Amino acid sequence: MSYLDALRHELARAGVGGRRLDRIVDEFADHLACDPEADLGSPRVVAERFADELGLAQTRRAALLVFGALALTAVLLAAAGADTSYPARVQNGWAVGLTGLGLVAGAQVAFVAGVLALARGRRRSLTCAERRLVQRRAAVALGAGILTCSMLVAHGVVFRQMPAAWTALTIAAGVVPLPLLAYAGARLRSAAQLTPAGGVAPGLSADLPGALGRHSRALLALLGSLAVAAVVAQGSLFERSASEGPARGVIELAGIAVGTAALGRVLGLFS
Amino acid sequence: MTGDALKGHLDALVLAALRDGPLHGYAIIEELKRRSDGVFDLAEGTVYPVLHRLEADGLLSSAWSNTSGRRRRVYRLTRRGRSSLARRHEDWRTFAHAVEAVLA
Repeated sequence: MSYLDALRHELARAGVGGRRLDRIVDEFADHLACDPEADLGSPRVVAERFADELGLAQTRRAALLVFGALALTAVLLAAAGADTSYPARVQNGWAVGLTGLGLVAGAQVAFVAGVLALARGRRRSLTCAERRLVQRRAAVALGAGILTCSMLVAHGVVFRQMPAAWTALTIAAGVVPLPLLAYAGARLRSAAQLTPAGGVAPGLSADLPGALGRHSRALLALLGSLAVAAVVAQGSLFERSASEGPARGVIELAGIAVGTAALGRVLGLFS
Repeated sequence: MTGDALKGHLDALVLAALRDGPLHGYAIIEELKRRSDGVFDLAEGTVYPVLHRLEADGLLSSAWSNTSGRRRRVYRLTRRGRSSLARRHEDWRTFAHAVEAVLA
């Protein structure tokens, strides 16, 4: 078997395929044509190095894509909700409430996971374990983004009292980001295929600068409290009800507690 | 000097090799050898994965060219690559100055 055939075989084994594989083999063929005695290294080592380097770049790109898709979702979500007056009494209340709750929960999880994926992904170098952490964070953001979009569509469908223009805008806001989210998912999958298992990534403390890293749990608690306070204020002021704000605050607090318990380890919140 | 000793600096060296104009993979390796008076004798196969990653990160761009009937991939610095090189060069100066101050 020639060096180039062995390289092709090893690249495919390491998860590098398609046009990328052909390009690498062509470049190595050109190198060998320049210097037939060149020491290019063992095909297996070279292929593993390619998987390593490309896995790093693709992980970064996938995290960025996921964040971009989520940003588009957020903009459309805001546009769908702007200048809308909601009826005092809602028909189909449980379905509207359930989809609304899914929407709020999905958007928050997507935002937190997306920010965390970007925070670790932007570092100049990442170990394999850190790459897998970025991929997990991006995957959670992606899943939550898809949940948000689905809930937005369902919300538009079940909230029958709203004007036709609102319904159309809400459903469109849920559907438009889906192709970008699907593409981001494909890039994420391809990055995951290039990342070998093994090792443990440091938690949230590694995402924070300097002294802040030593107080990551306190910072988490502070951010959670601020989110609850914002929800209480929003519920009290906009709904003009003494009970609505605290009630929403309790739901937010419960959601944060459940979310942290369920996703804390997956998102690498703890070391 | 082997790849291990250069780990962490290879990105900057590859970007610097392309500062004066586009080059193909073999020429980049030769340029690194030439500029370092043969000190940087890298395992040649390890430079290509770095080139591919730097391109994926947007610091390099590349295109096929035909030279004497042979297809070869030519790399060039992008604008982002040029500013990244300047930043890395500055980081290196600070680092080298500090190491020299400690060792002296």
